[in-house]
Amino acid sequence: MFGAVGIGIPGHVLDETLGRLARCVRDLGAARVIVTGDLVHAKPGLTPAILERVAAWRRELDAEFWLTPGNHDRDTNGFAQAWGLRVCPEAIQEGPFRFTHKPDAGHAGLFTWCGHLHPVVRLESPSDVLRLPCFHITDRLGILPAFSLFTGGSRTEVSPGDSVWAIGPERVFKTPARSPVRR
Amino acid sequence: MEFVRLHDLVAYVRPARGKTNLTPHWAGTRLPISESLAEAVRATLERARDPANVHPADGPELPAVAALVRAQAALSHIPAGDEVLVEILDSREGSHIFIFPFEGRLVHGGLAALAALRLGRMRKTTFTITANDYGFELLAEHGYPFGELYNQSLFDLDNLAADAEASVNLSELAKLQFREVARVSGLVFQSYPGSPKSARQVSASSSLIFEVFEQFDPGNLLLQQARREVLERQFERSRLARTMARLLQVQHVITRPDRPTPLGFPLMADRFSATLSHESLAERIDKMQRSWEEPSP
Repeated sequence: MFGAVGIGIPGHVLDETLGRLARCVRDLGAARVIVTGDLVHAKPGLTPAILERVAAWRRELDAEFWLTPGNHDRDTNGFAQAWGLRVCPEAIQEGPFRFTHKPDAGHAGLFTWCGHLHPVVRLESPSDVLRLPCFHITDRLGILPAFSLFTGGSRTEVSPGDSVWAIGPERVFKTPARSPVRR
Repeated sequence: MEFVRLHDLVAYVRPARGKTNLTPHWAGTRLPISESLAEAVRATLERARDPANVHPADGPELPAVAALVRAQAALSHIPAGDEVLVEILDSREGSHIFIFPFEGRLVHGGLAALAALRLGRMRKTTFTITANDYGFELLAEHGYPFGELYNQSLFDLDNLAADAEASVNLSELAKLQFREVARVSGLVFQSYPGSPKSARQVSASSSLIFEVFEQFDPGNLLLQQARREVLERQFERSRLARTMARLLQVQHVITRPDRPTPLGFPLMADRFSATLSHESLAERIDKMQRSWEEPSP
C-alpha cells in the first residue's frame, strides 16, 4: 500500500511476513493454510513486482491455501490465480470449526475462527504499560491476531468469561484483560 | 456547561444541571517557561516560604495559592533559590522520584531521560517519565531504591553528549517526535480541514511507521530527523548544560512525603509520558505477570 504511493516503507516487512509464514507451514508440516481475509490490504499496492514475489514464494510451498475474502480483498481476480489460492466466498467449515473473515453470529454447534479486528491487548502493571497483539477467545468465537507485524489493531470488547492470550517474544500467555475503559 | 466527551478532537458539552466539583481548566500551551521566568519562579517560591512576605499589594497570585504553599511546606519542603527539592514517594502505582529544578518542560524532559538512563545503569528497570514546567517524575516498580541510588552526580556533565543520545534511543521521545516528522513529510495524512482525523489515529499510524523504520531501516533519514529534533529541543545543549551545572552546585533537599504534594501531584496526574527501559520486552512481561499475582501493597 505504502509502496504504491511512492513512500519508502521498507519492503523487508513483506519478506519478514512471508518468511515467517513459510517457516510455520514447514515446521508444522501443514497441508492447508486458511487465511481469514485481509490478505491484501489495498489493490493499488499490488504492483507486478509484488505479485511475482509472492507467487514465487508460493511456488516453494506444497500446502493448499484457502481464503475467505475480507473487506480489503473482496475482488480477488488480480491475485488468486497467480498465488494458487482457493477462494471460498462463504464460511469454511471443517470438523468442529468454521472460518470467516468478520466475526458473526456463528453457527450452532461450531466454533468460529475469524480475523478482521486484529485485536490488541493493553497490559498494565502499576508502573508499566504494554500493547501486544492477542487471541481473543469467547465461548463460540476465536478472534485471531494479524499475522504480519505493524498492522496496528484495536482493543476489543472483552466480556466476563472471555479469555485473552497475548503474544510475547517467546511465548503466548493468558492475560487478565478487561475491556477498554471509555472516558 | 458540562463536558460530556472528547471525540475526534471535538469536545461535546451540554448545559449542566446541578453543581459539580470538577472544574475544567486550560493547562496552558506547550510553550515552556524561559530561563529568566524560571529564575523568577524560584525567587517567588523562596519568598513565599515566609508567610510574612505574602502581601496582597504585590498581586493576587501568592495569596491565592497560600493554602497550597502551606500544604507543600507541611508535607515536604519549599525549595530556596539555592536548593533543589527531591521528593521520594511510594504509592499504589510504585516508587516515584520527583525532582524540581524549575527550568521548563523541555529541559526537564531531557533531564528526566538522562536521569532515567543513568539510574537504570545502576539498577535495571522500566521508567515512566513525566515532565512539566516545574520538574519531572520517574516512576518505577515497587521497591525501586531511588533513595539509595539518588546522587547529585546523576547530573554530571561528563559524557553528556553520548548519554543524551543513548537516552533518546532508549526512550520513546523520538517516537513522540516522529509524529510531527511523519506529518510534515506526508507519511501520515492528517486530514482536510473540516474532516478531522483523530490525534490518536495519527499517532497510531506514525508510531507503526516508526517501528517499521527502527527494525528494517535504522538509518532512515526521517528517523534521524526525529532523533535530531529531540536532541535539539529537549537536550538543547547549552541550556541543559547550564541547568546541570546548577544542579551540581546547589543543595539537594530530599524529602519523603507520605502522600503526593501540591508540586508533585500535577506530574502524577499527567499521564502524557514516555517510557525508558533497560529491560527487554520479555523481562517487562515477566515483571508484569508477577505484579498481577501479588496483591498490591
